[in-house]
Amino acid sequence: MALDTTETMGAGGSQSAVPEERLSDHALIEATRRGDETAFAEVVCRYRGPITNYLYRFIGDYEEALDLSQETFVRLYFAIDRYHTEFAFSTYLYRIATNLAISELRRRKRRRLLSLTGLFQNEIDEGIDFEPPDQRSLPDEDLVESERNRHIEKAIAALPDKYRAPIVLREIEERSYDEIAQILGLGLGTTKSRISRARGLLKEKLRKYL
Amino acid sequence: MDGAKPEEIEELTGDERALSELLHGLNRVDAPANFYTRVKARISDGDTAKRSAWGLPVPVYAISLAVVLVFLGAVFLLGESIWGSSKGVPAVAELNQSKPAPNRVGTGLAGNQQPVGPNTDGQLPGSNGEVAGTNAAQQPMFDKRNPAERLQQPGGGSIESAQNNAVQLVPRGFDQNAMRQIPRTGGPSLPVSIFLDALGIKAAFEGEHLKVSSVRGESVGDRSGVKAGDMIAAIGDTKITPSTTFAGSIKAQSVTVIRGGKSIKLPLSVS
Repeated sequence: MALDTTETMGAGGSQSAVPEERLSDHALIEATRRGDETAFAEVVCRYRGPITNYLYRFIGDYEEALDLSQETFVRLYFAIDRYHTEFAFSTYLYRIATNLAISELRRRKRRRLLSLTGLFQNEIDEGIDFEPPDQRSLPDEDLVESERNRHIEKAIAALPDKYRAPIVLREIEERSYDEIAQILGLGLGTTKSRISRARGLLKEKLRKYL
Repeated sequence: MDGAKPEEIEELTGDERALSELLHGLNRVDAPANFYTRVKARISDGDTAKRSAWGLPVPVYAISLAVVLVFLGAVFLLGESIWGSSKGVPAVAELNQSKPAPNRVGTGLAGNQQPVGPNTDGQLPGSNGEVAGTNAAQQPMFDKRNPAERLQQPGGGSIESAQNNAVQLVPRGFDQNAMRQIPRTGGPSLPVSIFLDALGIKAAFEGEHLKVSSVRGESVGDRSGVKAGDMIAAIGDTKITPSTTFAGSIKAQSVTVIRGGKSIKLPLSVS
């Protein structure tokens, strides 16, 4: 069964050269359209890591990110005939994930759910850091790094949605500006502007680490 | 993976470069090993949901449709038997009470004193010659054709196109069900004016002659050429006299009128 061979592959495939990967993605999609379950399993295996990581950085909740990541591939499966190979497959997949994440964030706001993210956001989505100062003495290097990462994550989570998605795609997922613009459905100028704004906000919050 | 690295060369400030390094240094989260299994399970659930919402098995649809059809059929037949068996009686009674035939012979429902009930032996009323009229016994007492074929006349009664271009007149309220309920000891007899009314002809006897007073426009009588002032001499082969009565229906191909002292045979035209 395809599952047995693909579950052990991990996300290592994301390190290959771009053109080969693109062709390979399209070939896998074509095979999936023909009913090749193994090909779809390979697609899932290849992108589950990046998509899950992106969603986690976007919405700040791992379980929720995992759920949306699975839903992304379910949506891909049912809408695979609508994918046109003239576009990058990863763009298509990230766009599905982004739409799901945005819907989830809107749903949260409607239901007035207080998530870990929401605790540090005010009405205008500007971050307010309630983190008490760390009074511990002589922390070792791992603890310092862990603390720093926690601050960075918190700073990202405190960004407004419209800034968080592009900065995550750019700085963490390493997408190009063009691709980010396509994923978010924005113009290139707007995309660059939002990324620049997000950088400015993060610099203010993380100044002590810069 | 396609497009994994930004292709454009971006000039970053020192802070921005440091920030980028900070963000790159974040640990990446990954999906668990059973990720694909869970995706597959959700896809299967999606398929199941679709089937349950839209794709009921064909036998379920077929059985449901059959049950509905049987129910509707039962309701129709029940309603037909109840409604149809009681429908004709008051109509015939009304005809006999309101428009008694002059010099009626063979009073099937005279005085409404005879019991009205189903004709249990299956014989047609009038077939034993009890109904008066020159050829009433030869006329079919009711038509077994589909009632939908009848051309309803606004003035009452109906006209049925019969074989050999004959026109069959059935008075309003006089139908097969009514015929069945007439006891064999007496058949119905109806005045000719009622049948003429079905043709759109208003006529009344003046002495021995049945004079047309008016003809309704676009009626069979009008299309056949009957005009006010004509004297109806015969319907089909049956001569009309004040004592002429008919059984439940008349089958005729023509009506004979006397106009200007001349006898004119006008073929009845339904269309």
